[in-house]
Amino acid sequence: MIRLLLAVALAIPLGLDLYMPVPEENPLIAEKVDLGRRLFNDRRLSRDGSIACVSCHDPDRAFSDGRAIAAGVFGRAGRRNAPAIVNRGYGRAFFWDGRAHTLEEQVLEPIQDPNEMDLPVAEAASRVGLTPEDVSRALASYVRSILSGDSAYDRFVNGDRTALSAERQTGLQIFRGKGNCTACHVGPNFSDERIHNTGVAWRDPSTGSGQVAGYYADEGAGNGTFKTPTLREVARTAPYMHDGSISTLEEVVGFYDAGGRSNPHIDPEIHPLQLSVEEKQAIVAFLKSLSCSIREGHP
Amino acid sequence: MTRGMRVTAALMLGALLVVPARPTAQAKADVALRAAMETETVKGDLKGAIEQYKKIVASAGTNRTLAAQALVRMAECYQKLGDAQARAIYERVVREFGDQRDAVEQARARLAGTAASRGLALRKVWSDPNVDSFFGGISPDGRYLTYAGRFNTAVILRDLVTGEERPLTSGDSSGTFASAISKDGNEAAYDWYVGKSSELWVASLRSGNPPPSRRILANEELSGITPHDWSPDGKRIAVSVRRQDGAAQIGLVGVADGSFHVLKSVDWRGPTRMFFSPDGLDIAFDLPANDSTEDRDVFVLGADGSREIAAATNPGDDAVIGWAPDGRHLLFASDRNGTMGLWALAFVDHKPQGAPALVKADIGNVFPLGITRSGALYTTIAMWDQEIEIAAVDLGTGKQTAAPVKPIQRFAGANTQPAWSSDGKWLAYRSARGRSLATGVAGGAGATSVLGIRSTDTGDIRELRPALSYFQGLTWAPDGGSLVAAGGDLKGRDGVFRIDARTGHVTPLFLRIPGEDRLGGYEGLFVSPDGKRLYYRTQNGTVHERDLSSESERVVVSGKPSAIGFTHPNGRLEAISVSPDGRWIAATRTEAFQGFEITSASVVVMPVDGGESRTLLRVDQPMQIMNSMPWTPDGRAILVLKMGSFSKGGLVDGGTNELWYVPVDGGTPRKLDIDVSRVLPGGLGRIRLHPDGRQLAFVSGHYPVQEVWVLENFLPVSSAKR
Repeated sequence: MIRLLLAVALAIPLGLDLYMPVPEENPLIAEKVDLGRRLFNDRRLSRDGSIACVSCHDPDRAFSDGRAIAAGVFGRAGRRNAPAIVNRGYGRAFFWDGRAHTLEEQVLEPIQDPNEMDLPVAEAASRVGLTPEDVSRALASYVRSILSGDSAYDRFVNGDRTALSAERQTGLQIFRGKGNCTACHVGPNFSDERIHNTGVAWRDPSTGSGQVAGYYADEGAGNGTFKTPTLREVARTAPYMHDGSISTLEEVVGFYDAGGRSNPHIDPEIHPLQLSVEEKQAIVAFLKSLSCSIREGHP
Repeated sequence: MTRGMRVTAALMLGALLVVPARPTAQAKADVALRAAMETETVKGDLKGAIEQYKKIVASAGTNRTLAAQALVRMAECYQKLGDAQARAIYERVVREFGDQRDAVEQARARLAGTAASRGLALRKVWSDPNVDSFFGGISPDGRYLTYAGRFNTAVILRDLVTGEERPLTSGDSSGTFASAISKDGNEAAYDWYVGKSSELWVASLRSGNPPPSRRILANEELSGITPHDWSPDGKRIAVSVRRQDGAAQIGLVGVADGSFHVLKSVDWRGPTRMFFSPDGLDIAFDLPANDSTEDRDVFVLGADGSREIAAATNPGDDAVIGWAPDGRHLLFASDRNGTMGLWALAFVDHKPQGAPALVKADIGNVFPLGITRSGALYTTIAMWDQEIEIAAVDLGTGKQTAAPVKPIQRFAGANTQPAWSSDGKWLAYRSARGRSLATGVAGGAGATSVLGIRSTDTGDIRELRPALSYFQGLTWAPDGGSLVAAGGDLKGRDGVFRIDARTGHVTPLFLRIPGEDRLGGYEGLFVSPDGKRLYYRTQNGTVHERDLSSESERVVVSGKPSAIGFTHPNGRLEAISVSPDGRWIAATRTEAFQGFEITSASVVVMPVDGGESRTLLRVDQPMQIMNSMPWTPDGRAILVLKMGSFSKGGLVDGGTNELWYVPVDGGTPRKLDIDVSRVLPGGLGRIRLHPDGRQLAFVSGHYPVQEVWVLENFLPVSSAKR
């Protein structure tokens, strides 16, 4: 039976969809969420037993890690910034380049990645007395339980017109209008789950000289494109972008106000915004309204 | 009840009155059978009729003819309900009543399952040229229809039997688009647009002194809310909403407390329709298959959000139609076999079973209103007859020199917005396709607009499909490489867009910021002759000049917002037209109005760079907006189409259209002897003068005429197990 497989395990916070896509072969049940939670914190899943999923996805940092680039076993540096894994149960593409299509597929990759946990999945599963499928399903179930909603923004858009200050309301208007942020950061999770080129990965040594062609420091999903991250909890998940190259929300807003970084494949939605100082401040103020107390695990 | 059914009922009742005073057993049986048939056909109470037929069969005794007849009728009732027992009963008749030749033939024919043998019937219930859209609901007995009245100003309840109507709402502001009737037939939910957001209201359908309508959901964050269907228990309403960020969602509104629960966020384009399953546990809806198409797939979502199933997916277009009354079949429209047909997909335990079966071919682009308790499907469709015509004219003599021709033969009836390129070699136009044909609404879920470009030299037409949900105000950029139109992108954002004339590629020139004054009407866009500036008008009559390089703007003329809806405040500009040299703007200006009708107006001309306007023409008679005013190529005059007062069905009160030549140097305007009587009234009636000054393109015809149809006896004999 697939009925009620979600309802028995989760209480959906205000602002998120009641329907969360869950594979029929991996129904969301409390025991599995509990198991996934334990595995998420289990350092045996890394080669040297030094790190667990939680090492890079810290609940106190809205399931991010505060570093520009994730750190793996033996002090190895990862490739990209550890994303905040909130509301991923609603996701349609996973990792910064969107290469994984299901959470069950996604959760196993960091375990095997030499720069992250560096352990074959079979060995990791063996260490905890499970099959790889069990590990995958349990971790995916737990990640589905990590939910961010019921923020000041959610209360505002659901009728409590006092939930946002005047400045934050102004920021919301700019976010939807002049800022064109909702071209990509749309819907309850503030992500269209699609890939875009904003120019963050573009490097152009020829700037000013016109001698050397530019290149992408990271191709992402191709031509410097990366998946739109959620903005839920964004005030708690600095630094920003796939490479953690931008430290503050103010700088992020400034980056987009300037039209991103021009490059041959920049998304047509990215263009100079001509925001005033006050407008940029208002957007930042609004973004801070997207934080709340994150729910994880089953109620 | 239709007139025919009432006649049948009267005859039946008459028959009852003339039975003999001492009825025989045969006569008693006949009376019982007729009574059951009346319950079935007149009252539409299939379940009640089934019980009566059962009693007749049980008491038939040796009267095998009566038993066989009752069994066949009973099976037909089950069949209308989509109940699997129909098949079993037909088989019983064939098996046990071999001596009842007529009954056995009927049963065999039903089992053979051909449309003709099942008595499938399609009939038109109503049509009205003055209705904007029948995006409404049908009552469970099929007798009542709710729809949005003229100019969407009121929700109307229509008795489809008597033709009587009464408004369910009051007030004179624009406000409603969609409605849905509860499963008990006692209430209707409807949307009510209140400026920048929409509310959900419920009205009683009781006659006499019904309680006032009540608002059950108001949220400024919802720019649009569409009620689709009521849950069987009447406690929830399935809705689709559009949020201020443009995102579309589907959800449920609690009737008692107005609570709104989002079931699923569905990108920018929402469903065309949503229907509760008869048990209330599932909701069927359709969504676009992907970003680049308006072709849709059908899904079934648990009403508690616990599960979702892709019910109908294929490379073609699938759109939800509804559920069989017993919930054992999901019905949808699909063009999977080449033309749009009605298909049925069996459902057992909330899951589809097997492949869908074609129920009826060639149903067209219908829009479902609902399926009644007896299994009759009510649909609406808009009939289009809008054509582009070109008349040969001589402005010197003021005469028409040849009868108009219709240059566009493709998709006849749905072509509008002619626009000549500046070199006169191309005629662009908009052609409506898909579900916009069904609803008569240019935009919205499932609508499709095609950009046609016809060569004036060869007559060849190329069609482009701009990635826009709708577009209007089509006009060429001076270089002929692109067109400019107001419209909506596939992310639900309104704006002005450039459309590449060769590829159809769309580039936004600017997007309307939510909450700002909306772009206005069909005739509000012009590109300056040097291609550097765009002039556009917003709904409150403000004329803007936008520098297309710097994106800076200035207000040429300030507007005046309406106090309510579609009214025209005095002094507001209603249409603009830029001179060939780009130095002047001609406009119509409202002087006085009454209701929705302008009673006095003037045509003025003003310098683009600012300065006083001059009045060129005054009209002091009931008329509609003079909203189409092309300049002559030499820039010495404008052609003004004075439209007679009209209803959507055409000109009324003996009104007539007139075309006037109005010199801009203050000369005396003169009426041209050019037949513009067929020009479509109102905003769509665009006229465009060819750069050679000798060909006048215009749109003839009427607004789409909305029709309501009912399809009966179409449900398949279910093979599903109970």
